[in-house]
Amino acid sequence: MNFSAETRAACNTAAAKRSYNLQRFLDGWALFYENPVGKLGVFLLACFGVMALISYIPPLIDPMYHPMTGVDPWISNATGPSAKHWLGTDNLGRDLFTQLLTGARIAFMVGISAAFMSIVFGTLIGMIAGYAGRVTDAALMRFADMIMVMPSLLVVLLLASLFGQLNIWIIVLLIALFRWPGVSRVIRSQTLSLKQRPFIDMARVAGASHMRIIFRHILPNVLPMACLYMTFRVTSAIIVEAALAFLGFGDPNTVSWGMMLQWVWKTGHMFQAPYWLLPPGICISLITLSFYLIGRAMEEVLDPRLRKEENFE
Amino acid sequence: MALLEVENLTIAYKTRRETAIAADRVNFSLERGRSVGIVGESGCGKTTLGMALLRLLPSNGFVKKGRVTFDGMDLLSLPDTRMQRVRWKRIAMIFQAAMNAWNPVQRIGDQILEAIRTHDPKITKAEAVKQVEQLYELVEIPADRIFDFPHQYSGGMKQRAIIAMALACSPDLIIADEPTTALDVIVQDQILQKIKAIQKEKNIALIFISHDIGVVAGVCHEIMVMYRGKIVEAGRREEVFEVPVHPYTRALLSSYLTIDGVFEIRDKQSPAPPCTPAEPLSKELCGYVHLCPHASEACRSRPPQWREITPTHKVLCSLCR
Amino acid sequence: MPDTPAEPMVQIQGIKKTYSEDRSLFARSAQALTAIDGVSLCIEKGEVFGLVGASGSGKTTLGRLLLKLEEIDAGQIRFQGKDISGLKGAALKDFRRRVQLIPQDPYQSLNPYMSIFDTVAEPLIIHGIRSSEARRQKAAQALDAAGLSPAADFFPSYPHQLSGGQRQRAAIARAMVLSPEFVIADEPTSMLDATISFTIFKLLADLRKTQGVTLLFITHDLAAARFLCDRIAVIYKGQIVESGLSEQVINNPGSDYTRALINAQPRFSFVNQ
Repeated sequence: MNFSAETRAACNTAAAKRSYNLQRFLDGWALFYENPVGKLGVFLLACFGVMALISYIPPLIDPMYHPMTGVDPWISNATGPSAKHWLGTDNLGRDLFTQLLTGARIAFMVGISAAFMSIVFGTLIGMIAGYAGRVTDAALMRFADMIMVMPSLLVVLLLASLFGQLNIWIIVLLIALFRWPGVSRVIRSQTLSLKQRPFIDMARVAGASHMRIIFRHILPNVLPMACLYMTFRVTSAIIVEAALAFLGFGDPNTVSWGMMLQWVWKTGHMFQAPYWLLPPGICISLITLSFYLIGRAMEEVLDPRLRKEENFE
Repeated sequence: MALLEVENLTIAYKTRRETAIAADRVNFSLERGRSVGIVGESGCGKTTLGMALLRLLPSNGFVKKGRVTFDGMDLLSLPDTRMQRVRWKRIAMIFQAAMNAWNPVQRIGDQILEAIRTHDPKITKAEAVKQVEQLYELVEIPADRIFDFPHQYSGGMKQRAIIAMALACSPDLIIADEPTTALDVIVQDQILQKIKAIQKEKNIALIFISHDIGVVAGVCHEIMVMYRGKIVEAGRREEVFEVPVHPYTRALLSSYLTIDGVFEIRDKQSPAPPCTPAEPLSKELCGYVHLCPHASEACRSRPPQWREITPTHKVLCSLCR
Repeated sequence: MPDTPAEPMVQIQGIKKTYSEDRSLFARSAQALTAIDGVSLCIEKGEVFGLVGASGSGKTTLGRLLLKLEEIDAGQIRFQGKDISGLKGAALKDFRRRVQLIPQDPYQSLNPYMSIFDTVAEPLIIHGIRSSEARRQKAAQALDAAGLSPAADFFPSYPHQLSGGQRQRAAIARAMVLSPEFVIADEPTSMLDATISFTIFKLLADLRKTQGVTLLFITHDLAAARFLCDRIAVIYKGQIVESGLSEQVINNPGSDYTRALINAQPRFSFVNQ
């Protein structure tokens, strides 16, 4: 009897909590979606999502459509669009459309995983620096400054020329390692202001450990900001990967848009084959734009000061 | 005709979801040299009311209906340029925590001089300085402190300088919104005494807005108690303190801790003195019904009516006999 | 008065605290601000002790020093006879269980991302109450005692869904959930409306009676201190200018500052009582 009442209460608690969190999310989403900037960003991103998903289909139809190894036996030169190859083929006879679709998949993979890693590093280091203060703070922040001023592209190029071709995941890791300092600065300053809030004192008075204060009290409060920065980091990760690939330091076993551009350039088709050059270029611009737009719209949801004042005349 | 007449003033805020009424059909009038205090808890609409009189509502706030007549002028329909002139020159306002409104990089004296000379371009600088000196004498700040920077003043001095600035154009009406809330008890007392003395000496009308009924009672002739956007009881302060009628007023008074203990309401039993019904104004039910210890079935089904206990003491409640 | 003098709850001897403003790059001589300047006090077991002072008088700093949120520069604080300055590890955790804080601002003192249940139960988790059943029960008891009942209705709420008074009650429940022996209430009603403050005062008086907790009530409001406290100390510029039984201090003030404070209180002389 007693047990069942307790259980019911517990269930109620869980249900109510879920619906509350859902409500908060929906409110934020409504605000986000009202913003034309956010709407456009989501639309673009959805397009690329669809591209990434259907990239699995063409190789199933015919092995000729495999982005890496599929070669059209009838074509031995770069050709323009046709019914068989919607965007044309490269000089080996590989289908450009499937390459473009696969590129979307790679862009998501690189962008999101590099951004996620840099956000995890940045948030952790920012929280620790802000919370610990004094020497730890100074040391971590000077370290962050050092990395921030380091010409990241140059360092990656050096590493690439030292170790030969880099695996795509090594590239992702390198991007993440070079992109956390900006995040950690923002998170640190947020942590500094949170540390002054009385609920942190309350946690200390209750005897909470530093770990508990950082992960239970500070982390949930900085998480929205971290998510926001993640969208911006996705943008920069995609661009860095494209740049690396274009310069010839990409993973030769992966078809990314940067890689496609590199092939155009290396094979001397730069100004002869616009059907080959333009699609990856446009895609890189649009996908970075979409993440950027989403980030801006999110910023407005998260930071009430940026919300436009409602006009009611 | 009274200096200020407020009729049926209804103020609303538009938010994303709804239009919220912040002040509902407020009526009062104020003669020159008299003072009225508006008391209520946070969010009851008292600050909104003060802002609306000066037409300083935030951009999503608006006056839904009603009239504000000041010295024969309809304030709500006055062109903006003329309203500018009325502010400070005729109606001055002392804001909540106004002492933080001083520009930190400008000398306080210069800021007051600027205010004087903006509103009266013909005045010479020497005359204006003389005027500031007189004002400082009035608020009891030594004249050699006039050209100090704000950070060189204490909190109480800054607030007194704000009063000096409010008086700079010798206004007819001062609206003071929680002018002493951020200050210590002793400084608060000094400033209240100052406001009271100046108001009497210069025959200024005063609207004093506060959450603290004790502070209001010390300063004002009349008290209006506001609850959830409605004035629920209004009267001379002696009447409101001696025969508080509205249950909210009674709760406010009986939770007021004085240095001698809890404030004791004299007639303990009856919150229902004899009275005559006045104009029924309201269409909605009483807002206090969920907390009211005397709420009856009638309170839950019928809107309360304004009733007169004496010609100067009115209450919006169904409890009167 | 008990026959055998019990050990005082808190004994403070000549404590000092200065803050140095050495942050500025250009300030050559670091200006030191003395917040607490040689305070000695003794708080007996079971009493409500009022610390009255204006803003900037050092009263909040004194509370923070007693809570060991900051360290004293000189002097000694003894809690139940033991010096608290060197507490570490398990001893510090034990101190944290016995001494609690009721905060000033209920809008800032609850983590906005934690439900009321999580907030109230957090101290229980920290102090090793493993069984979730026991936590539920204790949290419910604490919320009930703080006047938020039925407690289960409040468990899933988040702070922003509650009114100021309800939040402060939740903060009180959190402070009381470990059955502490000494609670510091730092201006617990300064952000609340008058009618709500009064109910909070009554709740504190109740908790003292039912749970026998010793209370240090920090306030700027002499009237509130008189209502709640057995003894009062008046603090001014980091020094105690007067202390004694509440009635004595108010009816027979010994220092000019206390007298000024009493004279500045609002009075209703126009009411014929």
